[in-house]
Amino acid sequence: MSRAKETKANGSVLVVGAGIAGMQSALDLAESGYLVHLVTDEPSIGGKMAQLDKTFPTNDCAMCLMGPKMTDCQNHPNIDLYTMTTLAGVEGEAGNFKVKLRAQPRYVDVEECTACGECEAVCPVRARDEFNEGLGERRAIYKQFPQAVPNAYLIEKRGTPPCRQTCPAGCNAQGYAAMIGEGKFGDALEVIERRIPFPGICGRICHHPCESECNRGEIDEPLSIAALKRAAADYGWEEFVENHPPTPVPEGERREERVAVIGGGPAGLTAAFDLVRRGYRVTVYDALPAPGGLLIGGIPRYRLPREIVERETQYLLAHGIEFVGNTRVGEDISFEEIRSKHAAVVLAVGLPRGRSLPLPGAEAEGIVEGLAFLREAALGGRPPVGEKVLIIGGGNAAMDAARTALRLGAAEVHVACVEARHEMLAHEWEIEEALEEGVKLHPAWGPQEYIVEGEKVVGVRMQRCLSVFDAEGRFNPQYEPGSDRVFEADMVILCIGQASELGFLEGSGVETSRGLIAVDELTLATSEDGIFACGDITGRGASVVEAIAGGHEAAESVARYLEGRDLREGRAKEKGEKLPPPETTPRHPAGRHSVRMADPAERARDFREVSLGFDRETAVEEAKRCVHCGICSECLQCEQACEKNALRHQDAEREIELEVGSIILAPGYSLFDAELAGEYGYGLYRNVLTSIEFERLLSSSGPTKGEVVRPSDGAHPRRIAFIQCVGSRDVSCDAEYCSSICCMYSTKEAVIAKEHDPDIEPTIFYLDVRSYGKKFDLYVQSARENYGVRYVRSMISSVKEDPRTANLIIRYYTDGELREEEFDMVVLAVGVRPPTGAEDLARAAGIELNEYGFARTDPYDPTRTTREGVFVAGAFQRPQDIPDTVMNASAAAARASSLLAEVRGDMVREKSYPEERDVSGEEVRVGVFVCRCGINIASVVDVPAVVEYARGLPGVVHAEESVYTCSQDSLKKIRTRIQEHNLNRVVVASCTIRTHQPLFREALREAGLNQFLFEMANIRDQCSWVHRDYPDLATEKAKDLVKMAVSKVREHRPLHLSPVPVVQKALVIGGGVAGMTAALEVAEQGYEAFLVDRERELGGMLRRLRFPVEGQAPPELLESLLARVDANPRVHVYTEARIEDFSGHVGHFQTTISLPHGEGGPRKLVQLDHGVVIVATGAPEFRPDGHYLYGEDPRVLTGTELEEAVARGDARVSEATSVAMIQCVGSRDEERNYCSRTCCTQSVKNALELKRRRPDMDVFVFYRDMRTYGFNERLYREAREAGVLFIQFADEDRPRVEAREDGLYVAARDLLSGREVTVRADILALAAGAVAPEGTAELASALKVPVDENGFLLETHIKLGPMDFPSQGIFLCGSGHSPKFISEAIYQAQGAVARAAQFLSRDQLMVGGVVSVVDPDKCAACLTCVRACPYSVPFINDDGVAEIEAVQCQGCGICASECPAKAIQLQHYTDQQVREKVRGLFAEVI
Amino acid sequence: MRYAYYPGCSLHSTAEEYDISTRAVMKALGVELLELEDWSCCGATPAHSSDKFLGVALPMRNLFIAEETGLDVLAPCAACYNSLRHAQAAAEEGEGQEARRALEQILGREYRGDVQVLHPLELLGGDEMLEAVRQKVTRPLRGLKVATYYGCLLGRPAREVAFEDPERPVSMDRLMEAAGAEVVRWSYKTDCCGGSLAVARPDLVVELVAGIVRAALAAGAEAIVTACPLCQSNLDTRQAGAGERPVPVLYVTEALAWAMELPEASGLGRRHLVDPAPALAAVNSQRGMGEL
Repeated sequence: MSRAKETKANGSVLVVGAGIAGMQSALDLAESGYLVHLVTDEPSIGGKMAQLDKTFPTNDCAMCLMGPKMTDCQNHPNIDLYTMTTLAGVEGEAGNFKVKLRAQPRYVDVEECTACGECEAVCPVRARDEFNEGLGERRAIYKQFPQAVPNAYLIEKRGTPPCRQTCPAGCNAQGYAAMIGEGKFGDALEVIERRIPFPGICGRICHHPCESECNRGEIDEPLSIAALKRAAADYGWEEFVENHPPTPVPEGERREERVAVIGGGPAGLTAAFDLVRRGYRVTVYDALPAPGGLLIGGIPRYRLPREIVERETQYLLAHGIEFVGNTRVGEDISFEEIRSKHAAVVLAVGLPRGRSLPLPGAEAEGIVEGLAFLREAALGGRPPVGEKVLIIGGGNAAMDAARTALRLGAAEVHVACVEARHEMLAHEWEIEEALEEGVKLHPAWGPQEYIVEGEKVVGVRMQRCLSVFDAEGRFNPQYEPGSDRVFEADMVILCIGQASELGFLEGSGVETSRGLIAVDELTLATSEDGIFACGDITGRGASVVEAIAGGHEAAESVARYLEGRDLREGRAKEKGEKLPPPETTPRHPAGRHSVRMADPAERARDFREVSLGFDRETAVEEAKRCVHCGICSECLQCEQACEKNALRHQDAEREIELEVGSIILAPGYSLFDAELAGEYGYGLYRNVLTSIEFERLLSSSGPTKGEVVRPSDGAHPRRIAFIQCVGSRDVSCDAEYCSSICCMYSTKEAVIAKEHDPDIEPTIFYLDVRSYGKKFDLYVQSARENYGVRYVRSMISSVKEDPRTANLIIRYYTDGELREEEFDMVVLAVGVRPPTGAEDLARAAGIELNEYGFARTDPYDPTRTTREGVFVAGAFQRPQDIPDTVMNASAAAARASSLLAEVRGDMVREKSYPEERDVSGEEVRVGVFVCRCGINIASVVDVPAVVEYARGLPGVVHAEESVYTCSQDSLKKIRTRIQEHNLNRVVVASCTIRTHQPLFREALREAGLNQFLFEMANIRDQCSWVHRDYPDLATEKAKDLVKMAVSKVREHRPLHLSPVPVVQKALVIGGGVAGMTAALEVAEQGYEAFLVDRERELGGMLRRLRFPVEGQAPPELLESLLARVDANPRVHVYTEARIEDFSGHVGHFQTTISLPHGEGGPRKLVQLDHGVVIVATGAPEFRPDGHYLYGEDPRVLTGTELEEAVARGDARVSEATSVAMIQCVGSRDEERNYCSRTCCTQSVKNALELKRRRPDMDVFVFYRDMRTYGFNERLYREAREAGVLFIQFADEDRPRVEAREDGLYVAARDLLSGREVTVRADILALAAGAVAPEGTAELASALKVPVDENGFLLETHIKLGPMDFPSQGIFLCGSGHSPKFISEAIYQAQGAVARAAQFLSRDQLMVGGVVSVVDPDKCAACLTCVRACPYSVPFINDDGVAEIEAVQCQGCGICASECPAKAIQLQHYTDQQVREKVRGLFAEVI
Repeated sequence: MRYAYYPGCSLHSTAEEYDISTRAVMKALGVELLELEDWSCCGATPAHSSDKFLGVALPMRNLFIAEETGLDVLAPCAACYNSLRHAQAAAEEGEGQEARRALEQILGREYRGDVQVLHPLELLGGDEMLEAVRQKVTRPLRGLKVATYYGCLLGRPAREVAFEDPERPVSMDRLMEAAGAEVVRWSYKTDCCGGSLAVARPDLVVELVAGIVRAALAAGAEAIVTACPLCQSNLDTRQAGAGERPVPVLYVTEALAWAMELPEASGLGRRHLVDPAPALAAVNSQRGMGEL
């Protein structure tokens, strides 16, 4: 290590990515003395594997395989989980990295959330379910998948929706639309009231700028947001008031300061309302007798009924606002007096005066000022109107005046304004409604003179207006000379603007400017301390919603001012970019609904309301059109539903800094975007799916619960086509490499589909079947033979959809003809791509990527990146299946821990517990805790009844219920009750031991009780969830379950674990590349290794290889490994060794080996003591005697012999003009029914080498499937480009070889052309497979480890345990496991060391607890247990009875249940304990 | 906006409707077209299938002429477009370079290679032009179901000629939607109609055309819209008896001209074998029958 020694390294490791690779690395490290920070950008750990239904080749349920690992990661004291978190940067160097993480908010506290799901039930927003690949929907608050770890919810938020962003008052329109969409009008009103205290008013008269920004408008038309607000007020008011009765802040909590608000319009009332709710004493002064300002004294009642204003303003006042009406400041009370009585003043006086038009004749009778006219009418008066009324002005007030005049009896109403039609200030809908009612409009006419007859006005002379504003944008109308026209009228109403009345401020020091009060833009503070202004009088309150916005701001300033806080801090108003519509929310297929309107002819006669609003049903329909731009609508229903108060809507992104010694990157992979391969119609044809989508269809946790149905019509497909290599082996879509896994996963999907529905007929269209892994060929064979899966070797020329049936017609070429075939469904085997964000991750971690976008790694140290101390695990290294992922994840753990070996154990957390109480002499005292699980249990089971029942059970001294027994406060309560009541047994009736037993046992330990004095009754999964429809019976069952648990726990006895010392040395059997690597890795971890090999020299098969697949030549690797082994004092080499005896158990094995001793003398015996064993036996090349003239004709060689011959310059080869190769010699045949994995690549490599040396040489490769998987596909392409000819033959039609004088003639039928091909070759190389070495069976028998039918060593589990044996402490690597490449052998060897390190790193192992114990007096040595144990633990000892090493026992209980003499008892599940449990259930019966 | 216009032989003969309607639509949209002076045949299929040199040299001669104008070239015929783009790509390497050098010698000028060759679908398919089309449509094709048929020449070989996704082109779909039509989903957008084999192997073309026409009918199309003279001709003249009813085959520009009510384009439909008038008439019966 070149690491600087000055600073001590940090003993923790960062693992980025928490799929199977990340979890494996994390667990290996945490188990061997390191603290792990496990980071994922997903809400749960689990990665892609969590999405899989089954796994090949065992068809195990992916989730069931992985679940325990997920739980282990969560519960491990030395693994810290970070979800929704990405790596942002890495500084420092190996041993001492400083990393920066960026955590996205979940908005739900993971610690508090119990995943009860109450929040999800009330969430109104539906979004695309990514976990189900969009085939289903989820809510905005969701749990990623049922088994998610951490088992907690989170919320998806995209940002502020445009409606809310645009609203001056910031009203959450998406929130209330969501509520209305659910029919919850009262809750909708609650959302509105947070920002708009006048919902019914705004619902009618707001000019709704939100609607112009609404993203629904991009699809069809905007949502009718304002009308929805009115609907909320129309239908939700009673409920709202009931839930939120207007109550003043109680006297004791009120603040002393008094605040005056001058002006009772919307701005003033909003400010007053905010302040009174904060506890201030607020008085509102207004000139009008009632609150509302322009709402009651300006806006006509046909637009805004008086009752609505009264209802809403009275609701506000009822919160404790003092309203002083009929009071004109400056006349009835002086401003000074108000100021002296109040700590702060808000000026919200509005613009109460209309403007006059100083033209000749202005004094005439019949000319009235519009605002006064409207005020009188609005307050209920009936001002006189003329026969023919002319309104001057083009704003909303002009429209109001016109329509009011109509209603008051005017025969004809005209409106004239200087603006052209499109320039008019009135809102379009106001103009339209006026026109509908019969108002005549005259745009672009400006008044010049009143025509007066006598005292009375009879008309106005107008001129055509050419332009309204000058170049500077000032109001400066230009008229067309000579265009004069007289508009006759007996009444003229002027609606040309409003003005202020600010006389009362004279001498107050409050500065004014152009008739308005000058305020600070942000704080609305005036020039005088403690005086603020809002609304129209500040020039920023022309509409009611802007007035409300100003009211809120003024109130905020007053509060800050009175509380002595900074007025400006955090108030800058920056509007971000507009949020585009989300792609992930479902679109309700309806156009905008229009509001009902009264008949124009009818309505113009009186002041009844014109707009009738939506009815309830239409409102709900309209609300559903919302596209939920922010995803989460922040309606806060979840907050109300959550009994744990776990919601954190205010959370924001966080940065986390950590110090770690090394880093492992395991971000997994992404999948090819099938839309990029347009020829298959994905995204266009409804029944074309990707493989991962199909996987979700197969999954029982998927959108159809495992039923295979067609998206187009929900029918069951019969004919399903799988198309391979979509986005793989395809240079045209930038995916040259083979994705390595698709042939197998498609086979699995075909098989599982067939299992789900036997009518399904799967067809797989492929190029080469690449089933190169262990037992993969058998799997494909079984798919063909047992499941009828049809394999067709063909590229697809086209996929077409029949628009009537949505069936798919595939055209393909095979056996020399073009065929067309119809299918019900097509599944595209999409390829593996680098993980999403790979470039960002690489940048943050400071590593390089390769040409395909995967991590650049060292072929002979495959987890090593270009930055020292940063390692890579899993598919980020290259496309690979799960076993390879597990292997190199362990390898990465080994490399990271080697680096930090000196500081192993530095950071781990050891917990200390109080001394354990001796309960042996005590009478049984049981405490029972029954969980409500929110309402998960309590809504079905009568929990209090169960508690009451438990109280009466024998031995129970305490029983109680809790809402969530697993929450921290409940656990604390359990500890307290143990002490209070001196409990010595505890029963929790709640969920499952699988996830929660460790938590409760921990609580017992913390309270000084032995952890085994605990029992759980599962009254949720096994009771309330499954008997939801029978609450009474469920309650009875819950009682029974509790009774059984109590009966059993009474018999529980403390169990103790005892230490067994560990010999911290490893025995490595086999000295090839795997063995040497393993021994060196053990040494780097800081332990000693005994490396034994039966040959005279180390090196194994590596000695015979000459040319690399990539990187360094094998001989160089061999040399460097030998040198490193030789130089390492911790590696002890024994060559020509034989294993004579093997005994012991994990932690301490004893192996006796013999070594040659002198010439022909007796062999010397050496005993080795070690804690673990690593088996690294390899696999030599098959000797194909009798195949294709091998051994008979010297011109026939094996692939490896050819490689050796080429390298040494053998004249036979160097002078040859033609070389032929035949693949699969001794592989994939009846005798050896497996693929040897490496031979295709070896032949391609050799062919390229021959072509490189002799470009004119003819090279032929006869093959069945070219299995150059992963990046090796490139070599295959290069070989074809170099002119190597590949000829495919059928499995049953092998090539024939004839030896003649002038060469070897190889003949075969070429599958593609269907023609017979014969070539002449000077040299024939047979790609001979790999075979298990002789002696494997004997070794396996000595170690008591299994072998498979081909003689290879058999691991615990082909998927997740590729380096483990059932026997603890013995590990596996190298080709003895199955044939593999050098780099694969290397990472498996390193991985095996990581697995071994969990034992090597400990001084002692704690054994005991739930293990089997033999009573020697009863044992008859019948061998039943010896045969039954899946871990080969029991053995007959020197005393002639069975013995079970506690250290080896897995606690499964099989031996105990099988033992005919009942000589074996499984602790904690003894016969006595189980019998008591049963007796408890049948107590009444027996 | 000005473009050099390369009509090719088809637009001056069998596909005159395409020529007239293209000119009319472009004019309405403010695009000025200047027909290349002394343009010659692009060589079409005979050239590139019999002589690689001619296959490049013939279209390239027209590129030389276009370079003189300083304008980019609009080529409505899919085969012309394909040949011109192929010549441009070929000019950079191999035998194409020889043709280029030969032509440079003959014509005594250098080939600059800076002219852009556009197909009308590419020009009209952009957002701005689409908006302009929308503005100009006065008689929307509301309710008319059309199958857009791009054929094989506009997208293949993708590297040389495709201006959009060669497997899933959408430019014509967007144009037809802008004109108010309803575009049906079908799988035959980029299938081959048989091209010039209509002469040598009419049996083959009849079979291919039948497949396309039946697929369009199955998808519910009332008209097929194309942007290639050969496609239009093959589909129009060889579909007899293929489907349960004849399907009119329009040039995209004809359909646009009709929707824009351009006078130049009136009556063009009468030149087709399958009369498009009934389909168009059904669209806008309230407004009276439009003439095409």
